[in-house]
Amino acid sequence: MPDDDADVRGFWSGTLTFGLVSIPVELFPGVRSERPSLRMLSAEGAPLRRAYFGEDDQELSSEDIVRGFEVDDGFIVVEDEELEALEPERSRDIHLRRFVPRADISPAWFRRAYLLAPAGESTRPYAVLARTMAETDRAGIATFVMRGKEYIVALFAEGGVLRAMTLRFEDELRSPADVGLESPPASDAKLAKAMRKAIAKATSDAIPEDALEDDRAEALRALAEDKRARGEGVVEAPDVEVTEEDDDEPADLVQLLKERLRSGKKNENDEQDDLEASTKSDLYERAKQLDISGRSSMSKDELIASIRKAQAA
Amino acid sequence: MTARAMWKGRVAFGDFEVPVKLYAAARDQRVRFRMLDAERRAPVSQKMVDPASGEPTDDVRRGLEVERGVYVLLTDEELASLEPEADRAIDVVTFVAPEAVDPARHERPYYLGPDGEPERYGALAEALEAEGKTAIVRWAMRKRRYVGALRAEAGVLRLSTLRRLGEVVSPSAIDAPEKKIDPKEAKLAGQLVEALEDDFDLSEYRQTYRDAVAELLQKKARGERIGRPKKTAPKEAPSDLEAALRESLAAAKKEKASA
Repeated sequence: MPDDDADVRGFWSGTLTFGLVSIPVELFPGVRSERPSLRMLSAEGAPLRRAYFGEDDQELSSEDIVRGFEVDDGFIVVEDEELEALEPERSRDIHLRRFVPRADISPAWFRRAYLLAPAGESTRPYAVLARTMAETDRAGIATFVMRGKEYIVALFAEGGVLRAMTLRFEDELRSPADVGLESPPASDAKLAKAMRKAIAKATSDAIPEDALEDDRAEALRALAEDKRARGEGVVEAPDVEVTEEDDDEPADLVQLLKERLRSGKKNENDEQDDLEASTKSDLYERAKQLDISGRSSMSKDELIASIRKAQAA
Repeated sequence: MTARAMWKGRVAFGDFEVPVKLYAAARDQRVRFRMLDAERRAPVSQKMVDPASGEPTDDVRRGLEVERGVYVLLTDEELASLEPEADRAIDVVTFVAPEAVDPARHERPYYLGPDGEPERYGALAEALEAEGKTAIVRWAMRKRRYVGALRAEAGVLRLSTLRRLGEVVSPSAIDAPEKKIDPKEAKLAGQLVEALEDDFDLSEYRQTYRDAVAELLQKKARGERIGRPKKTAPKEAPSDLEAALRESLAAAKKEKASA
C-alpha cells in the first residue's frame, strides 16, 4: 500500500487467520535506522569492499566459500540446500490464535516492529479485527514463518491499523537467576519511601523527546558539513557497494532481499519485470550473488543488462 | 552458570544514586557457522579491498556521506572528539506510565543488578514498582549514548534501550480502512476475541529450526541425508464475514470446552 514515505515498502504478503476468517495482509517495516553511518574508504575516498581470502591470500568468490560447524577435529560442512530443507514449512499464514491483555506482554520480549496493512479487495475483516482489538485493549498473539524462520508476534491495534512486534523466544532470554538475581535484594524501606515521593514529583505524561536527541548524530553531521564548507577531506565516489560501520542492526532486510531474489529466480517472466522495478541496491545485491565483476562501478541499466546476460548464460 | 556483568554504573536521579551492574538479558541461540574455503576446508579471513587496485588494504579511512556519492573524510581524532564522556551515570530524565513507551521503540533488554549497597537497589525497585512507573534514562556506554526505559518487576530492575522517536514508522503511514463497521460483525468479532482469550505463556512457543540444525549436524557427522520442504498458496478474504465469524466462534467455544 503506497504512502508518502518512500522508505516504507511492504515486503511480505500473506494471510492473517483469525478463527476461520482469512485476512490478506502485507507486512511493512515499523522502524528505520536514523543513525548516520560511517563508510570505510580508501585514502583516495573510494568505498572499500569487504572480501574473503583463503590461506594463500587468494580472494574467494561466494562459490568458493562453504559453511562449517566447528568440532574437535575440524569442521562439519553444511550446504545451503541442507539448511533450507530444515526450514519450517513455507506458509503465508499468520496464525492469530489467542488474545491477551496488552499489559501481559513484557517489553523484554520485543524484538522488532512491523506494520500490518490490509491487502486485497476486502478490507472489512481487517477493520473489524482492528476495531475489536482496540476496544477490548487486547493484543493478539500469532505465529508465522518468514524467510525460513519461525516468529512469534504480538499484534496491537492503533488508529485502526495493526502493528506487529516480533517477540524473542523464551530460550533467547536470560532469567533473573541467570544473572544472579534469583533473590532480589531487600529494600531500605525509608529510602524507598523517599524515592517514591521523588518519583511522584518527577512524573511526566509523555517522554520528553527533546531531552533525548542524539547529539552525536548531530555533531557528526555538523563536523562533516563544516569540513565540507572549508573544502577539507571532501571526496566524490561513485554510488557503489558500501560497508557500514557500527552496523549492529539485525540483517533482516538483507535476508529478505535475498529471499526475494531467490524466489524470483523460479519464474523467468516475473524476473524480467522485477529487474526494471528493482532499486539499484537490490540490483547490486543480485549482481553480487551472480558474482558479476565490475558491478561496483555499473549504472542501474548496466546492472540490469549484466544480470540478464549472466542469467541467460 | 551466572552471566557476567558487561558494564558498571549508577542510576542517578535527584539526590539518589544506586550503584548497578548491567547484564544482557537477550542471548543469541543460533547455531554458529564459520565461513570456510570450500577447497581447503579452512576458515577464511575477511579483508577490506581497495576497488582501485583490487588489493586488500589496511589503510582504512572513515567518511560520512553528505550527499549521494560525496563523502567527507573524518580523522580518528575528530571521531574521538565526538565520543560521549563516560561518567558512568544512568541519568533519569523523567518518569512515565509504562503505556507511554511505544513498543516499537524497544531495542535490547538488559538487567541491572546491585553493585554494592544492595538495599539502595532494593529501594529503587520497590519505589518504581509501587508507583507503577517507568524511568526514562540516558547514559553513555562504550563510546555511545543510549536512551532507555527502566522498570522494576518482582524486585528486579530491567532496562531496555530505546530507539529515538524518529526511527519509528508511524501507523499513519498505512491507510486505515475506513469502512463502516457492521455492528453484528463487530459483536461477533468481540465474542471471538473473548473466546480466544488466554494467559500468555512464552514457553509454549518453540523454535524448531535450531533443533533441526543440531540434528542435521549429528546426522552429517554420521554421513546421513534429509528431505525437501513443501509450499502453500495465499488465501482469500471471506465473502461472508458474518458467517465465518459465527463458525469460528462455535469452533473456539468447542475447543475451550474440551480443554
